[in-house]
Amino acid sequence: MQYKLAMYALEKSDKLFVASMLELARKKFGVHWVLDDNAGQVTLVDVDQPDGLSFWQAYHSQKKLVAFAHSNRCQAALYLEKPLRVQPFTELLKALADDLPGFEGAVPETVTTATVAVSTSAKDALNYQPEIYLAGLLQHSLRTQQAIRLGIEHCPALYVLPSKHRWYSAPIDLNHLTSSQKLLLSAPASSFVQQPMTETALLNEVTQQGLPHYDLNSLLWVSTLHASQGRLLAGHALQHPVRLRQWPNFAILPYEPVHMQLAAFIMKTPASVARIASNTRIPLSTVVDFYNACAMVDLLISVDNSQDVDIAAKPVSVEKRSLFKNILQRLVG
Amino acid sequence: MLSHLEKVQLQQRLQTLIADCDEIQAALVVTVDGHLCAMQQRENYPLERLATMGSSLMSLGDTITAELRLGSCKNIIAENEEGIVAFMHVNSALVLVTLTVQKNAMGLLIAHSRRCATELSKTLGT
Amino acid sequence: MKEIKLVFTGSMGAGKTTAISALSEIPVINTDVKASDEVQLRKATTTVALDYGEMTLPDGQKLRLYGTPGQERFSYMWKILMQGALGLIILVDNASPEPLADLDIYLTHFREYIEVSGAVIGVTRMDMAAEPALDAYYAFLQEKQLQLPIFPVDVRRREHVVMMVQALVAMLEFS
Repeated sequence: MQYKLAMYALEKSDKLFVASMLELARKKFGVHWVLDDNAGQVTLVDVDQPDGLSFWQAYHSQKKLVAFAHSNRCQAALYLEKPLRVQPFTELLKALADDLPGFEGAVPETVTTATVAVSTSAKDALNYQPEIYLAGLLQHSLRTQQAIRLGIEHCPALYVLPSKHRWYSAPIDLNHLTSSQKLLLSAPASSFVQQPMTETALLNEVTQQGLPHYDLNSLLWVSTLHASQGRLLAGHALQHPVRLRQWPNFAILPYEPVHMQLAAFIMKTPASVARIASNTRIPLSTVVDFYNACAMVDLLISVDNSQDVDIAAKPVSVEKRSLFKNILQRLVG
Repeated sequence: MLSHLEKVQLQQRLQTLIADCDEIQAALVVTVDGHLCAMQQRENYPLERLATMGSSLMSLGDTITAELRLGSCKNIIAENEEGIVAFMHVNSALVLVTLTVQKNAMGLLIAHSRRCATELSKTLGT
Repeated sequence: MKEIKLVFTGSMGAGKTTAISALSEIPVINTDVKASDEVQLRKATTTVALDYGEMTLPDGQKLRLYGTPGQERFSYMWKILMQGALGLIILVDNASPEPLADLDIYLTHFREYIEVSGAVIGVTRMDMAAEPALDAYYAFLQEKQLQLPIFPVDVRRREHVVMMVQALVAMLEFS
């Protein structure tokens, strides 16, 4: 049986120590843990670090996290006291393994199937996989250049015309979505009735109904923002730095003021998701959703890890901060 | 756009202005959007730039008097350490700008400039 | 009290006055005069000094909105108006004969300011002229080693002008 452990915000020395203690746990208790930051069943989080604490606050109710700190100020059910010591850590690994399904080993087939099913859903819960949501349907339409009508009960249909990079629907204000529209956008792909159409047929139908068209990027963007729910895009790492190719086109992409701040920050300084959240003090889940949306409209460029450097931001004076706040308030008021 | 004849008339009147008043160092007529139409000067001044700046100033003067409901702006005077510059409308399309380095010659500057502008206005029309 | 001002600059006819009108709570004061040269082929009037509008902020302070003349001949006004400016918005008319060349004028003139504080670029009338596309503008900026937000805007729409100011404020926070 193998179990997967992820680490978040640990210092380099602690990471090395954890890696070395996994082997000890295997020898002592026969529990085989491996490190996997992308697909860990359990994540060890250094909550004494600001980005670790942000991560904890964002995910403690959704994921299995162990709070690693000098004191259990998070009142975590799973807590490991600093500094790392062999016995408490290996005993924790044993206790965790007793509660979790493993990935390998001589087990009956039915159990294996159940294990795979559980691990898949566990992975789903941890990462955003666009292929199982509306965004995946849109990407498929773009790849195959197949025009398609997407229907879902009690909601206006969506018409996708990939050759023109457009979608059509009843008039919708993407900046002011109703709760049912948000649900539609975050619905799994399986909820949609998919009807491939010829371009001509699609255009006839939308013209007949007088449906306005929108840039397809806006749908990719907004559906990702709502479906991500704070889960990082599968295959991406919280610690890997990125930069923006260009500003998101907020003239067509719906946005909130925080998205402007994120765009401004990432354009100025390549950074990882973790560092962005830590430096901007914007909740990690918001950063992740924005990151995913940028990725979906091909705005992100991966950069070298060496570029994820904590550059101390020039402090903005209290007076200036108040001024900016006043201006923004006045603009939307 | 001024015709060739009109430009000649402007030039001649500015020559007369300079000849009649020793205190005036330079005189120019500019369009309200800052293009130089005619000029006369005793020394080398950056008259092209003065043309554009003059139009800005005249326009600001017009705007201010309109805001304050003080009627039309008759002239704008820039009184400086080393001289005086006067700006005034010839008509709705043209502005006369005159310059003296005599700090005490404001009265002469305005009087001669006003007469010149009035005559030009009659010659060219509104 | 230090003046709080935003400056709108950009090519003639790009929509500076309209953009200010979209935000200003007072009728915009302008210094437009009849154009006498080839400008009149594109526009009957031209700004020779400035446009002015204002907004009152929640704390009672005034945010002053200035528009510069578009023609390069009046660049001395650009310098005057930029003194102490909080931020700069550059508007470019995509339907003009050479929009990138137009943009270059303002990027060059305001380069020093932009390198410190940044600016936002709004490209107007992309519905009338699709080229150059946004990518061309970004490529142009990259050649100049500048990273600025560029948005296709219709300055008659208040939300577009608001968006540009929001982007500007976001940039200022992280400049």
